[in-house]
Amino acid sequence: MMRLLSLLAALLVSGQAAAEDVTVRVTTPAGEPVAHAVVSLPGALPASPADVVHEMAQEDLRFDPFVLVVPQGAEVVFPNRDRVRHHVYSFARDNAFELELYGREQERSVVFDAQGNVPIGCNIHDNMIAYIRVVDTPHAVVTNADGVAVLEGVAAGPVTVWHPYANAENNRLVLDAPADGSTLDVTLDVHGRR
Amino acid sequence: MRFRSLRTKLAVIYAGLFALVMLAAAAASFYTVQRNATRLVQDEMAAMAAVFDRIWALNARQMGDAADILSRDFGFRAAVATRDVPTIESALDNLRQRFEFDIAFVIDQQGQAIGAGDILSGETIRLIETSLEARETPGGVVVLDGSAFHAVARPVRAPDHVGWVVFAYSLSSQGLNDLTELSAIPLEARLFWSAGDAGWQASRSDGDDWRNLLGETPGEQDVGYSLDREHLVSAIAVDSLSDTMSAVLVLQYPVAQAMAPFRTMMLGLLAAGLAGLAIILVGSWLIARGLSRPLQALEAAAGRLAKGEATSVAAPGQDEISRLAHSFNTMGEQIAAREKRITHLALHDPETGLANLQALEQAVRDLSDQGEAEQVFAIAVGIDRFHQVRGAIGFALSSQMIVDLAARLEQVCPDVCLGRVATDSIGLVLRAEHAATVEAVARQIVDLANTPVTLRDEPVDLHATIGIASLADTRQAGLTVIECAGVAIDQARQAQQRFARFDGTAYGDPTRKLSLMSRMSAGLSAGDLYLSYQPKYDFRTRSIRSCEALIRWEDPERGFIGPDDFIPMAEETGHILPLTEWVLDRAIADQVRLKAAGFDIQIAINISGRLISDPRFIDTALDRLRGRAGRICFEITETAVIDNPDQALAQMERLREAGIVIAIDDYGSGLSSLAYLRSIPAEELKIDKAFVLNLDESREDRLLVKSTIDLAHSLGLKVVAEGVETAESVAVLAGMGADYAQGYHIGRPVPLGDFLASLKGRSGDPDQRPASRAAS
Repeated sequence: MMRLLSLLAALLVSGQAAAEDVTVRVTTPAGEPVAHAVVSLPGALPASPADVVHEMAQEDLRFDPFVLVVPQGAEVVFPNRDRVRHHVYSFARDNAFELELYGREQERSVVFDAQGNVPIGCNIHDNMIAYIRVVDTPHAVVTNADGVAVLEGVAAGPVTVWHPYANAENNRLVLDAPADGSTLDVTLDVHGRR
Repeated sequence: MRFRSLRTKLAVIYAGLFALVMLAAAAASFYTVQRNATRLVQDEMAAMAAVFDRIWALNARQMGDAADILSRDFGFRAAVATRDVPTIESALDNLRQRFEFDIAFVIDQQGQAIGAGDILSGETIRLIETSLEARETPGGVVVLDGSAFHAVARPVRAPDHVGWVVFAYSLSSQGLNDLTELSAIPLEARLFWSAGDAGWQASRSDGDDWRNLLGETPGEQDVGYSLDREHLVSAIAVDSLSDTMSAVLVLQYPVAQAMAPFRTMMLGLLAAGLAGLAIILVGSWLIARGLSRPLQALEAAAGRLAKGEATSVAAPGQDEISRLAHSFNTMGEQIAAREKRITHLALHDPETGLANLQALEQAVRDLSDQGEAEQVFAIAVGIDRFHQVRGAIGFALSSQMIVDLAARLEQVCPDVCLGRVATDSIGLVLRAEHAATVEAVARQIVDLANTPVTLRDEPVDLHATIGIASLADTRQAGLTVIECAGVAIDQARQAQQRFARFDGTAYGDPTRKLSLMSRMSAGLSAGDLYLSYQPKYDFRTRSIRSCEALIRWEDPERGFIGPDDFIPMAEETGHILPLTEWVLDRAIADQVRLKAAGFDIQIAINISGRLISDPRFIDTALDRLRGRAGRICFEITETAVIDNPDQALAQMERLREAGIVIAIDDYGSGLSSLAYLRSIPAEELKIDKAFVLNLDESREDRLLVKSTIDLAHSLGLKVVAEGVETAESVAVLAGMGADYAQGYHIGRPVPLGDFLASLKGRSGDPDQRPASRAAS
């Protein structure tokens, strides 16, 4: 309850700061919060990429984060923080890449030019999996552990909610934005890894 | 169940019981063997099922391992992810050949089967895909193009799920039979599957024949019999690749084959059972025969004994039956002895030990059976006055006398049958060609039987009379020949002879007598009997004032039957009472008629001596004669009083008091006791006609009659003279002072009509007739 109140307070503060903020909360039909969902609204990308470093680290034989959302043309670095080496790859149609065995001292990065979903895995460690979502809008946020994503200063438009395991067409839902900046509750059915 | 023979009964019961036990034992053995055999086969099948399970699992793992390796190969994953079909197909081909799989394919994310040719329809793929999603390591039966396969599927992840790699080998009968070759028993295996409601299907066209092997729900069946009970069936549920399909592996084993090793044992059991049964049947029969044989012998002997034959049974051994036979023999001997004694008693006179009447009658029958009846004779030797002799010398000596006489007779006639036929007579039965021969023998006997015997050293006079009869005599007499001889003794005695031949004519016919009596009773009703009246002439009034009623019988067939012919018989047979009552009624009625015609006549009736002492008769007579005092006279002979004087006199006193006139009839012919003359309350005395008939010629008769009249008068009795046939007699009697005369001269007995007519004829001059007779 305290958390909810503080969240509401934060929303009020941010509402005062920006013209249009959208808060989206994603839950399963059972009411569980859905993390790692990408919530996006349409918007124009700036001409030159922002100077932001996108990182898909490998640590403890896991990718971190599980879902990374990047704008089109962004470069993603794949730092290896494990003692073992990894062989990161993706067979995504337009963003396929393969970073053959490399250790923690070796820096690797990939530029994703095509928007779309890029499942990435490690050829050595079958259980390692992560998703990079390449979008053509600056307004895209991954839901936190509470299933909440806040988009600040967005223009009006349909809200797209994507999750790698969503039981929906192309793993996404497209919804109308809320009318007066209130919270959009999205119910998304997700499954486990196949 | 009822048996007619003990042997059958024992044999059937023994054999039945033994057979029952044998049958039970055989059934138990059969059941046990059958069960053990079934269990052995079932165990084998269960073991086989376990083996199959392992092989199945092994195959699944082998395929799974291969699929795992392939699905994780980076190059293969890249090929699948990028849908590099030729690469995928070549990789699948490579692996299929290496592991000898029948089918290998990949289902990609577009739902396309790569490397499977065209055996997979889109629908099948979707079905398989849907089923695979929920499984960890999917594997199981899949049906492709109508054939069953054992398949495994592994996901291809790159790293996201991009498809399934599927390996499969055919579950054709060949493949299954390879499996069953591992079994020690010749099993056959078939795979059945059921998708949805389609029912069970088999992988081969001959699956229909297998259908009856399956239970209702094959998957739940462990090991059991097929529906037609000709196979043992084990159904093993196996995994199916598709959720909507179930599959079972059915192992079957023909029962006949399963039981073949035990058949020899069964046959052995059966043979042993049959042999045992045969031995039991024969043994039971032998035992039963051993038991029943002596019993049958006993039964037959008992039958012979019942018929009176002498019999005995062999009684070997010491058992109960032998003892029974022994007892039976003893019983038979005792019965024979007793019978002999009884027969002896029955046929012998216990007093003298001589044969008795029955024995002699048997001898007569035997003799008559041997030849002509005319040649069979009986001689009866009757000791005269035996009762008196016995009274004099005692029973013992009189018996001895008979024994001595019999001994003498035996000396004369050694070959004849001799016996005591009555207390005082010895009978002899013999066969002779002529009666003369027998009479000669009789004469010899006469001499012997009239010679004194010596009893206790004292000579005792012996007199005997001999009667002879032939079997021919018995025909008309209705007696046995011995009885006829006895009658002949009586006839000889009557004739004052020492011996006589039986006189059938003199004896008459007793049966005829009886029929005469029934005829008489009928005649009374029919009016064949009537009364005739004979007048009595009253000397004092010179008129007819009384008469005697005499019974007459005019039989329509036999003609006139004299009173002497039926009155004595009526007395002997008891018919005299109704006859006398009838006479009484008739006389009273006739008296009434006479009175009506103007004649007051007293009627005398002859009353049998037997009736006088019978109170019943007196009662009925008094009843009938009430009011007729002095009008009826009862004529009674003195003999009536002799047998029972007190009773007779008392009854006569009753009659006299009632005014019945009593006349003593036939006086002078019998005992004519003066004592009775005094005591009988009579009013009249009738002098017997024997004294009156010759009154004219006999001086003695005249004296007797005169003195009798005087005696009667002096006792206050009136005198009736009977048998008055001449006028002279009438005159003499009148002179002697007789009161009444009766006889032909006075009037013959005539029926009532004639009697009335004669009375009327006299009425003009009552004295005329006797007087005129007297005068003439």
